[in-house]
Amino acid sequence: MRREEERAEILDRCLERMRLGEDPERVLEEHPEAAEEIRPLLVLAEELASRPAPAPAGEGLVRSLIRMAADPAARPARPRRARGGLLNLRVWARAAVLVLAVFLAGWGAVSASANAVAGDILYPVKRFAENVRFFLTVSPDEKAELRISFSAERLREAVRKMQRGEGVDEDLLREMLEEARKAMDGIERMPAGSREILALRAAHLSDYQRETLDRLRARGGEREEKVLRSYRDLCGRRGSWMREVLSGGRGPGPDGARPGNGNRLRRWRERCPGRPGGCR
Amino acid sequence: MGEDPPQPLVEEARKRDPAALAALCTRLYPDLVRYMRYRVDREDAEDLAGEVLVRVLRSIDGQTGSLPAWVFTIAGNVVKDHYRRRGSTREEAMSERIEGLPDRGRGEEESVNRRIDLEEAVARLTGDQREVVALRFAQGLSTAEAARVMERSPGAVRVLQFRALSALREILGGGR
Repeated sequence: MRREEERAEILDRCLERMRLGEDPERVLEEHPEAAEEIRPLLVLAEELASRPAPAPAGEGLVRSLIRMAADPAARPARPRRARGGLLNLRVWARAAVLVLAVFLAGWGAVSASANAVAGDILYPVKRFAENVRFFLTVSPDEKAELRISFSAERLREAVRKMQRGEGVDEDLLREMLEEARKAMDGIERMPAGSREILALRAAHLSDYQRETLDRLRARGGEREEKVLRSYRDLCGRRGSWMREVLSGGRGPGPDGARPGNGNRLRRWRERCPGRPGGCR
Repeated sequence: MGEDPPQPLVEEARKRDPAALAALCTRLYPDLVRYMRYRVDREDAEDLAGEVLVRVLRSIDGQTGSLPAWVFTIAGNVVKDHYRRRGSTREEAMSERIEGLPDRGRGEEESVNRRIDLEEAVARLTGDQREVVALRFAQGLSTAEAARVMERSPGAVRVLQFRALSALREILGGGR
C-alpha cells in the first residue's frame, strides 16, 4: 500500500470514530508514525464540521418553486372544471406552493417592507412578495384586482419619493400605467358582470391617478413638470378608454373599435393609450 | 446532513403527500445551501439549492436507498449543469472569487502573515476536493455515502479527503 493511501486510511478511521463520538487517539496509538501528520488534519476536519450553517433567506427556494409551479407541466392535461387554485395543479406543484406558504409565513421582512419605496433596502422584498402573491392568485378577477392595487401602489411610491425630495421617478409612473393596462388582459374572457366591474374600477383608478398627478408640483424644473403632465394626460385618456368597455358594444371604442365581443374587445385592448404600439 | 429526516416523513414524501414534501423540503433546504456554499459562488448558492429541491419534488416517488446520498447526487448534477451553463469549469469559477488572495508562489512571507479565512481556503481547493469536504464535513455523510454520491470507490474518496485536508493545512500556513 502506498504511503498516501495508508495515511488516507488512518485518517478515515479516525474521522469515522469522531463521527460516532469516539476518541480517535486509539487509532493513532496504533500508528504513532502517522500521528504528527494526522492530528492537525483532524483539528481542521472538526473545525469544518463545526462551522455554523448559513441562515438561508429562502429567496432561492421561493424563486425556484414559483418557476416550478408556473411551469405548464405543473398543470394536468385536463384541468378539473369548477375547481380553482391548488387543485388545478399537479401534486408536486401543489407541494411547491405549500413549501412557499411555509417560507412566506415566517418571512417577517415582507410585512416590514410594506412602506418601502424604490431605493430602500426592503423594496426588493416588497416587490418580490407582490410577485408571489400574484402567482398564488388563480382567479382572473382577483389577478386583475391585484394589478389595480399594484398600479395604485406605484403611484403612492412615486408621490412618497417626491415628498422626500427625490424627484419624479418616471420608472414608477411607467409601471403604474403598465400594471393598470395589464389588469385589462384577458377581460374578453370574463363574464359580462365581472368585466364591467373591472372596467369601472380601472377607470376610477385612472381618474384618481390623473387628479393626483395634476396636484403634484415637481421641484426639478421644467423637464420634471413636463413628465408629470404627460403622465397626467395619459391617465386622463386611459380613463376614457377604460369606459369604452362599459358601452358593451353600443358605442365605438377608440379609433372606431367596438368593445362588444371577444375579438373587438381584444382589438380595443390593443389600442390602450400609453401601451407600446398602442395609440398615444 | 444536520439530522436525517425521519423515515415516516420520507415514506409519506415518496407517496407524494404534499404536506410531507413541504416538510421535507423545509428540512433539506438549509443543508443544500450549506453544500452549495462549498461548491459555487455565494450568490448562486440559494438559487441552486432551490433547483435541487425542484428536482427532488419531481422525482421523489422513484427514490430508493439512502435519501441523503440521493439528494446530494442530484445536488452534484445541479452544480455540473450550473458550470456547464456558464461554460466554465468549477475551478475557474471559484478562482474568480478568490482573485484577491495572495499568490502563494510569490510573496510567501506576506501570504503566511495574512489571515486567510477557512472559507477562502476551501475555495482554493480543486472542485473534487471541495465536494468531498462539503459531503464529509459540512453534511456529515459517511465515506461510503460520499463515494456513492461522487461515483468513486471508497478508497478514492479517502485519498481525496486526505489530500483536501492536507491542502487546506498548507493553504492556512500549517500552523492552525
